[in-house]
Amino acid sequence: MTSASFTKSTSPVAGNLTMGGVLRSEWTKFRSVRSTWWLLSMTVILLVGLGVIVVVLEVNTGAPKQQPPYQVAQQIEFGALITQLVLGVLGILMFTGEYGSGMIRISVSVVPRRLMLLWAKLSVLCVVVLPLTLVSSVVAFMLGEFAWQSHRGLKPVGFGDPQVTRIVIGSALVVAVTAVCGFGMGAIIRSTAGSIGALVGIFFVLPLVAQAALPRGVAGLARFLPSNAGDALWGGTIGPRSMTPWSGFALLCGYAVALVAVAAWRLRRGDA
Amino acid sequence: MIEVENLTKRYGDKVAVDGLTFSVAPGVVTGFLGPNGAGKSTTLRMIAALDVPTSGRVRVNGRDYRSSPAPMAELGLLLEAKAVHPGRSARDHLLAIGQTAGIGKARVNEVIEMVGLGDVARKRVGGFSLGMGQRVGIAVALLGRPRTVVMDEPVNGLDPEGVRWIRALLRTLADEGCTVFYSSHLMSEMAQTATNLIVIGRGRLIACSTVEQFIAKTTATSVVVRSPEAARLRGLLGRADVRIAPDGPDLLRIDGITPEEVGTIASQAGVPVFDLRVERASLEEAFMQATHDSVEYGATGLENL
Repeated sequence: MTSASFTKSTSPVAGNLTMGGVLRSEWTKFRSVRSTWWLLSMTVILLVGLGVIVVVLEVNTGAPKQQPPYQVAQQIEFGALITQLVLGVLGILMFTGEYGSGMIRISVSVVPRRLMLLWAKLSVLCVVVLPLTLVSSVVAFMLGEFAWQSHRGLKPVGFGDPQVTRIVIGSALVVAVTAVCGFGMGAIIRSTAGSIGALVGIFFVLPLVAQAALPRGVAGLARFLPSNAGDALWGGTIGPRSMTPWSGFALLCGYAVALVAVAAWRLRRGDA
Repeated sequence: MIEVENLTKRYGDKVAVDGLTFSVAPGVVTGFLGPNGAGKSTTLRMIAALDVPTSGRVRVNGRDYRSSPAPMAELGLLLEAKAVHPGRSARDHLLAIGQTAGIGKARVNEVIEMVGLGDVARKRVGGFSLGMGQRVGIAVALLGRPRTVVMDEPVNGLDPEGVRWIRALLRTLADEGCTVFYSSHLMSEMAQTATNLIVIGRGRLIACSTVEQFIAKTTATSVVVRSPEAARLRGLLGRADVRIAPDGPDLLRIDGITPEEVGTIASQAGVPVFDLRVERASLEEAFMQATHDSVEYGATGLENL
C-alpha cells in the first residue's frame, strides 16, 4: 500500500466513453455474480425438463390418447410458464442489483450519458436470453417428441407443422420478452422485492383475479393482460375470447417497449 | 478544477442546497465541511452529475461533466463505502467500471495493489470489512487517473495506518496537479490534510478560504503570558480593545493583541515574563463557532441522560 505507485506515470489511462466499452462493462457485471448463473441454469432445467416430465408421465401412466400435434407441443413447452418468472427476475436484477448496493451511483458517474447504460444492459440481457430460450425450447421439443413417439401407437408430432413451430418458437419468444418486461419494471421500481412483487402480481395474479372477478360484460378485457396476450402465441387458452397469436405477442412486445421507455425516461431525468 | 455556481437543490419543500457558489482549485487539497444535513453529500452528488440541480450549474475541469468525452479521465468519485454488489469480487467490480473507458486488467491490478487489496481482490466483496470496502471505493476513484478527485468521507472506517495513507495519497494527488475535494467529520484529520476549506451550513456557504484564514477569522487568537507580576502587567495592558481573562494566579490570556506588543510593554515596564506564547483555536473550535447557528440536527444537551 503505497502512494508512490500512483506517481509512477502521469499519462492518462482512461480513454473515451464508448458504447463498446459500456457493453463490455455490462457483460463483466452480468457474468460476475452468481445469481445470473443460477437463474440461467434454472431456465434451462425448467424449460427443457418440466415439459418433458409432463409428457413422459402422460405416456407412461395408463393409456395416452392421440392428441392434435399442437396440444402435444403445448405440453412439451409447459415449462415456459414458470420460466417467465425466472427470467423476469433476471431482467429485474439487471438494475435493482445496482440500486440495492449503491453501485448505480458509480455506474452513472462513469457513464454520465445514462441511456448508454440502459441500452448496454438491455443488449446483454437480450443477447443471452433469446438464444438460450430458443435453444432450450427446441431441445425440449426434440426430447418431448422422442418421449411421445417412444410409446407405440402414437403418431409423431412433427416440427414442420406450422402450429407446432409457432408454439415451440413462440414460447421461447414470450419468455424472452417477459424478461425484458422485468428489466423495465426493475429499472422503474428500483427495488428487487418491489419489482418481483409487481412481476408476479401483473403476470401471475392479475389474470386469475380478472378471471374470477371481472363482470361478464368486460371479462373479455382480460385477454389484453400481458401474460394472456403472450399466452395467445403459444399457450393453452386459445379460444374465441383470446387474441390471435401474433397480435397477442405484438401487444406483449408493446408492453415491454412501454416499460423500457418509461425506465429510460426515469433514468435520464431524475436523480440516480 | 470544480466550479459551483448558484447551485440549488430542493426536495419538495426542503431546500438541501441553497444558492451555493464556490470553486475548488487544482494543486491543493480542499476540505469540505458542514454539520450533518448541511447539504455536503447532495452537493457532491450534483458535482458528479448524479443529482439534477433545481437551479444553478456545476463545471468540472471547465465543462459540464455529462458532456465530457472521457468522464473517467475527468472525475474520480468516492461517495459511499461498499457500493458494490456483495457477490462480486473487487477485481471484477473494478474491471467492469474501468471497461467503460477502455481500462484493462493491468491498470486494475495496479490500483488493487496501490490500495492494498492484492490478497483479497478475487474474493467476494460481501465479506469485506468497512475499511476494506472503503479501499475498494478509493480504488474506483483512482482507477482512471482523473484530473479531479471527489471523496465523501474517505477516512471513514480506515485504521490509523489507513488514515495516514489516505492523507499522503490526497497530498500526492494534489502535488501532481490534481483537484482534490473531500469531506470529513474528523476535524483534526482535515486540519492536517487540507490547505483550503469550503464550509457550508443549511445548504449555504459559510466560508471559503484557507484553513489558517478560516481559524483566524472565526476565532480569536490569544496571547498567553506567565509572569509573577501578572496583576501589574494586567493593569498596563488595560486598554479598551484588549480583553484579559485571569487564567490562574500568574497567568494571563489576552485577546486582540500581538505577542510583540505584550513583550514590548512588559519589557518597558520591567515586568519579568516567564512564558509568552500565541494560542490558536483548533479547526474544530473554529468549525463549531462558524456553524453554531446552522446546526440542523443538534443535540440539546446531556442533562437528561
